[in-house]
Amino acid sequence: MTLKIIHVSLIFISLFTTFIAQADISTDALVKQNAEKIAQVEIFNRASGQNVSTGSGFFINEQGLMATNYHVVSKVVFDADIYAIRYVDSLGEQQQAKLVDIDIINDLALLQTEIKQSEFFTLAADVPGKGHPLYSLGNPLNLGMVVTPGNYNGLIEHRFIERINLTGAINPGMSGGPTINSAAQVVGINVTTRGNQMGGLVPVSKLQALLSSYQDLKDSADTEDFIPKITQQLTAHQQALFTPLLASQWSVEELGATTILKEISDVLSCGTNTNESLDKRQYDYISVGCSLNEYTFLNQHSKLAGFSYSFALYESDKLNSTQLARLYHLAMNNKPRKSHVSYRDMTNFQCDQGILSTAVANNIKTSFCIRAYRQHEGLFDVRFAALLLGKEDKGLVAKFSLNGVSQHTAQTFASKFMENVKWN
Amino acid sequence: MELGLVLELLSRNGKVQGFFKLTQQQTHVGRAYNNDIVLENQYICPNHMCISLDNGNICLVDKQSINGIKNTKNEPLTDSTNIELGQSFIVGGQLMRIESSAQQLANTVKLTVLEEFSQRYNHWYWALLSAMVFFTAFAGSRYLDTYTEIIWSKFLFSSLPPVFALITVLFCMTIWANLFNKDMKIFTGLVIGSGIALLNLLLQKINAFISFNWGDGLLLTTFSEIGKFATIWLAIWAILYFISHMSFKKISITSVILVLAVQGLMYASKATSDKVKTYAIQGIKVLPDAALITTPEDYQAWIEKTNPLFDAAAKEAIERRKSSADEDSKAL
Repeated sequence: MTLKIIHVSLIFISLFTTFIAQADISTDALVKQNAEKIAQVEIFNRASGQNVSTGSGFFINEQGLMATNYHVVSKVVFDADIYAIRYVDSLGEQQQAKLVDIDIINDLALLQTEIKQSEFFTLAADVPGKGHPLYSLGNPLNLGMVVTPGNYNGLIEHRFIERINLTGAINPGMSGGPTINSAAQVVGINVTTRGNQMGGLVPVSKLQALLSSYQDLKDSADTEDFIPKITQQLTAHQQALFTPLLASQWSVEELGATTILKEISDVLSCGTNTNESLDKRQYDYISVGCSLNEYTFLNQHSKLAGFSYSFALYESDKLNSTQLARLYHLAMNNKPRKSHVSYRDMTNFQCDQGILSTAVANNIKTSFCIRAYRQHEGLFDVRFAALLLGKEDKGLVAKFSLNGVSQHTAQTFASKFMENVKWN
Repeated sequence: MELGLVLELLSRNGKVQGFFKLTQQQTHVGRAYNNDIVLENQYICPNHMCISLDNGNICLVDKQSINGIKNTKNEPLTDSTNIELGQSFIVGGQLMRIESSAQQLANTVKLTVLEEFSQRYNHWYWALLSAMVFFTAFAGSRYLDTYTEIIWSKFLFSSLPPVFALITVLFCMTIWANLFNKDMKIFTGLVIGSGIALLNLLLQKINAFISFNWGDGLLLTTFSEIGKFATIWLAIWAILYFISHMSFKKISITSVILVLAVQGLMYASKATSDKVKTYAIQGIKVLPDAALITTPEDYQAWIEKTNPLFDAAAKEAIERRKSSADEDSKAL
């Protein structure tokens, strides 16, 4: 019996060792086979010739078309007269490349190189199964081409913009590089590191869509001014996000003595917070908030955040009405926080306040602030705050924040937001 | 015998500080008590000089004093010198002149209300009372703004700084007033200072009331700016009144000019710093329901009325895009 166990164990050890050896061989082979298909993308200053940033890119057809991330080349989009793009080929030589198309929402860009490329990646037609091994290629920290193994874990949840959840390391500089399956087909494009061996990839279907749209409009789309295209993509994105949302029925729930909105979309992450654990508290506080935690990279200074809303109920039998009013005052006024967008890209906020009533609630103190995007006509950020008055010992503060939306979306969202918020 | 002449003791800027009637042909001046006019001044000799009046002539006779008699250019006069009526001279550093007692005097000025007030309230107990009223109002206002547990000893102690600040300002004013030889009425100063601070506190509350009911529109901006202007003007007016010898008219004009200059500089500073703020300065004021007197507007109608905000932001975006003086180009 013991002999049988030893025999079976030996067979297992032998099989495992063979598997490991095969894995090592295939990883090594992957690098060797695909070295010519990958390049280091450099953004350099036209005047000095010095690099200002680097990323990765890979060839996707024999005409020398290269794919990378939009955020790798965004400097060229906004300052084409100062910066230009080049890439370092497998022989270590610098070659010129030109930005020909972008998809700002999915953080993708297409570069046209001047050579005919016999070696290029094919794009995977199928989505891999969960746990399927993947290999991310790129040029992290300017240390040369590397491959890091990982696994496909489906799409990241609670996102409107699709991202593949990769359990594997993606380091700075690997952005724009491909993540491939064992058949050397591109499954995704490296885009973010999420820490602790977690990475994010742009699904290859997005690259296929961009490539297809570029090939359809190639002749008419020869431009160096991508700002109108960015505006158009941002506008289409906010419409795709908000049109179904605003058309849907928003369900409600109770929060203490109030009725508030529930989670209005599956793409949101929601949470709650209270001050129950605080000793000697003078008031009770409970808040419920939901947010779309994703960012669209605009340029090196600014990222466009998703949207969020929250409801906070304050209640006290210890504070008098003036002290409670002070509490509401602080809750209504946003504390200046680190902004995701630069002052270079925005206007000042324009604000208005009112004492209002809805069909279900009287005496609501509201504030509505908006600002515009300087380069992207018709897009605005909105900050809304409302205080439900009318109770001696309690108050409800409702807020929402929208980013990069049209005037129509902003006003429709605001209309719908307070429709059912009331005291029970 | 009445000669109708007086010896005037003058300050450096020519103000009369004291006088002595000259009733004899010979008037002896010195520090010793046997003189007709005794002057307590270490630079004046015990028997310094004699003023001799003879048939309308005024003659100064130096009695071999150490510092002698000098003209206004500080040049020594001879041992016996005739001078004109109204001519100034210096005896031991003290500026003097001889004038006719029958000279035309300016009309007596009636004490103004402010001067009456200033005299009446220049007592420690009024100052203490007003400081206590200010402290109570400030602490009360803080109490109504506090939503955490109050530890009264800490709370009261931390409410003291504004009162100390007021007292410190008054001490600084006293030092300044001394430079101008002005008798600073420090207790009245504290009464008026507390009054201005209370006024400021009141204006803040009125601002909050307007903002709560009607938002931060034109009404609030106008009231707030007028209130700010009035408070600063009043404070500067009071400071100038207490530390200088200027007339009311001069104080009023100077304080208006100073306020306008300060406000002008602030507006100019704002106008030149055109950097966009990346956060919304909402300035929402909230008061208890009882302070709500405005009629609520319809929510949906109000949302539609936000169109001008979008128009204004879009217009600003176009202007900033076009502006060659934009921050972007500055950074480059």
